[in-house]
Amino acid sequence: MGSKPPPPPQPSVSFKLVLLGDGRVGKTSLVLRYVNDVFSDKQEATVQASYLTKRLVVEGVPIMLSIWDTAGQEKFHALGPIYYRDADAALLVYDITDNDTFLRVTKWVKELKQMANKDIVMAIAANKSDLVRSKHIDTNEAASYAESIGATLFVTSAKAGTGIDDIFSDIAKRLLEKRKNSSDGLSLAHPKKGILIVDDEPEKEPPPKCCS
Amino acid sequence: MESPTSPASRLDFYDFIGRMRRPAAADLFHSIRSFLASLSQAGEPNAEVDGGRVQTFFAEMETAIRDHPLWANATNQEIDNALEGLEKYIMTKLFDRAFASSAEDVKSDIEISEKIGLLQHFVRPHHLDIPKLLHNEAAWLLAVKELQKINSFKSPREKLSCIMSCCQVINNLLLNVSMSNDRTLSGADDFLPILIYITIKANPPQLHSNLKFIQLFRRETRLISEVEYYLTNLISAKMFIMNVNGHSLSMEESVFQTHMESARLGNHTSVASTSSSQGLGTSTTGLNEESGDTEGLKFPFMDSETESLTPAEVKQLHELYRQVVTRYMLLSKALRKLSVDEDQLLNSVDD
Repeated sequence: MGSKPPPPPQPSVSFKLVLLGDGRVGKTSLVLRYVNDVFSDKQEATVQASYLTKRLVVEGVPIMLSIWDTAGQEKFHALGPIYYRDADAALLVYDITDNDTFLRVTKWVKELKQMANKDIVMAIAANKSDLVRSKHIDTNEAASYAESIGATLFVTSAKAGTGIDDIFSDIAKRLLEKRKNSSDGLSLAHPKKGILIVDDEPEKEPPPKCCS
Repeated sequence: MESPTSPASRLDFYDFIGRMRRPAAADLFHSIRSFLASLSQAGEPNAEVDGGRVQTFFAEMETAIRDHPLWANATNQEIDNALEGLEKYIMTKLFDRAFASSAEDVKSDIEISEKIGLLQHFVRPHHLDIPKLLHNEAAWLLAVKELQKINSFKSPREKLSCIMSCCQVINNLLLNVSMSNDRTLSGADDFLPILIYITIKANPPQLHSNLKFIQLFRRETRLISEVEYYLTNLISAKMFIMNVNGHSLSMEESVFQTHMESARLGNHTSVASTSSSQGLGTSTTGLNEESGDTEGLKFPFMDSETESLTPAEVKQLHELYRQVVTRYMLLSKALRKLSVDEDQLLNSVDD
């Protein structure tokens, strides 16, 4: 390889995160809020919400998260494995006011244990907390369930913007830890697909013109 | 995403061919020729095995091109262009061997195409939970056309571009709706159902083989991130269609079966167009909505003399009879559900 120009100095470590949650539990709003956070260093106009990317730095290591949204309606449930098969992380979202959506989460968790990557990092978002008037939100049961499966639970609200950064940085930290301990080490960004270089990102289409 | 037919894309390819003709590229050209020769002598085509060998060859050539004097001081983009040219060259040469070459692939293609042909008769947007707000025939038609172009190209990258263009049309629709209604941008909950509906309307030629071909032969290092996501969605749409049942279309299983049965009968009599093979001719049957003035075609025996019918025509007549009865039963049922009296309704229709 000798004579070629050296690659950009900071290749980021890339991870694939799959979003699972019943239809209309607000998983899209949640992730849009995260990706478009006005406080992030580099804001890009979002022209699509199904596939999103987010760059962040954890313990000095640049990380690139590819966020794969999935259709949450029950009728598409069987298609799940196609999306999560080789995912590094799963963010499971349920609506805090709707117990059925929590049951769907437990169903996905069972499947992930069987069919996904053995090392998959899981986190559960108890979403829409701003709709709950009472001061006391009982997430004890959900929290102990999360603990029992090696996941973490966060109470989130896309509207108020709470808990969102926390849940993603928790995921990123755990991902990085696992990658460090794995045989691949940090040098290999993705077992098969090679390194994704930040500066080499294909240009997204130009942001939509606003207020014209 | 750039269009596969864009001037830039063609330029890459001609530039690659041009460089390969130079004496300095003789070694690379030799590698390519001997690789192609070794594959064609490898006996019966096996797409998976061939795919592995092609991917290894792409990786070797990438190293060779990076170290080659002809690409000295070339930017990463220029090297990538050369590799795209290489993929197109190799896969065009290997196309007949690599694309839909096994009997199983041909069978899967026909099965999917026939199934979609049936679904086209009765699947409507609401069966897939597509919200009214997102109904947009013009945008859908555009997406359908993009997907139907897939067999106009032989390179994996260009085929993939058709899929990406189709998905981009859907995403543009979602973005427009979100902006003009001040509504949160739709995610996969809305995207996937629309893609499935578009796939049913388009009945893209050789869907199974096209997906397999892209997965096996698109340069591995380029089948990542966004492109991989959208390809996965089409694979997922295909899977949905293969396993479709009443539940997945929000209807009773018995109703679903009746729909499929009457669609089958309908297809028999209306000279169903079978799946078109690789080429420009793509099926557009899905786009022709049923029109009201086709009685003459649908019921050709209204004015025939019974005695003059041939045995073949009697058979055809019998099939038509079955179709008419099935439709009648369905309509009756529908009327009962609406609590409309059939005879009263018939009497109210004045000629």
